[in-house]
Amino acid sequence: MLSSEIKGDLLVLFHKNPGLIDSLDGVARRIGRVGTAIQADVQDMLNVHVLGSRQIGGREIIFLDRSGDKAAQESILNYLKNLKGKTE
Amino acid sequence: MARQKTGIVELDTMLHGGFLERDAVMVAGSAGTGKTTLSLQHLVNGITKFGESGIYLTFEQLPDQIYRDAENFGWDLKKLEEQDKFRLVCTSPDLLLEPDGPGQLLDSTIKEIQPRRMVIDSLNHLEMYLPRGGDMRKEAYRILNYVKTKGISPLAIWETQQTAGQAFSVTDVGMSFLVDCILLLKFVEIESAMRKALVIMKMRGSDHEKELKEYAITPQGFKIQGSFSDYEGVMSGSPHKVASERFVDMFQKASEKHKGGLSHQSQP
Repeated sequence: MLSSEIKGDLLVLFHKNPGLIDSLDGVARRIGRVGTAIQADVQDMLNVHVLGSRQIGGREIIFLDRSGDKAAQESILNYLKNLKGKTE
Repeated sequence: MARQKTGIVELDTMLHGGFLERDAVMVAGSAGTGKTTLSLQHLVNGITKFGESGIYLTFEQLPDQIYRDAENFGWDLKKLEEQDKFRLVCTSPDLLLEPDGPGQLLDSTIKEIQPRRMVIDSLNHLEMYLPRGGDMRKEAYRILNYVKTKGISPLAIWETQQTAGQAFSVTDVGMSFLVDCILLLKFVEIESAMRKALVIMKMRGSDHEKELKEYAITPQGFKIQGSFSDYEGVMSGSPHKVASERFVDMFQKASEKHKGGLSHQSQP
């Protein structure tokens, strides 16, 4: 999940601002970047359902997929618990 | 007529019981006058005092700043969100200006929490993103009507450019006919001190208090303190004491001077 700095910035942005619904460029602007620079990372996060998307006026808008994000957090937590169990 | 109380007792009195339900309200004022605080308090009171859910739609300010600022007044917006009574939606104005923008952005949230109040912060941002040749009044009219048809009362924020000392005209806004009620917040300079004044400039279909009131932003939020009854010309930007007050002042000063003179004379 945190394979890049951009994904980290996006996670922090959406977790601090769960009501953010914006275009790719709009989201990018809010973390001081441009749309093309975050496109690949956004796609990865859409693939794992941490983010959701839909169309407005032919443009894709992005938002936090609250249920997908919760599931992802639980799965990371379980993974860490298992890892801890194996190392003990 | 059904009224929607703000929960700020003195303001509800000025409004003769509150805003009329589903009326579009504009809170206008320059930076720092407390437009956001008043609007948030209207939403929070709606939830906590009157059981009416609310949405705060912001374009520029990120929600985490609003959560933090609200916390300073003791309003836990995150908790209200967890209870599905409140949503803080942040988006770009150009998305709202798309033909299906309001529905695509807000329909799911409206279904989730069934709000009765919504704050739009601000109409200035919509204007900034309007395409060349676009008509701001038409766009604002469309968006306000979308909100109203969902059974929600919209409250829109408008930041004016005026500073202390300048008069304000509702026609400066250019959109005054779109809204049913206008509250103006204004800095006024009186005796070398900056004070804040509120006036209801318009309220369609209802009588309201016309008097200018002083207010302050306190740790508990927006607080209306009293009137400027001792002053004239506050709105025009050149306030001065009314004649009777000037006479009292002059009399007191003369009396003090006289007393001072007598005490000097009586000293050995």
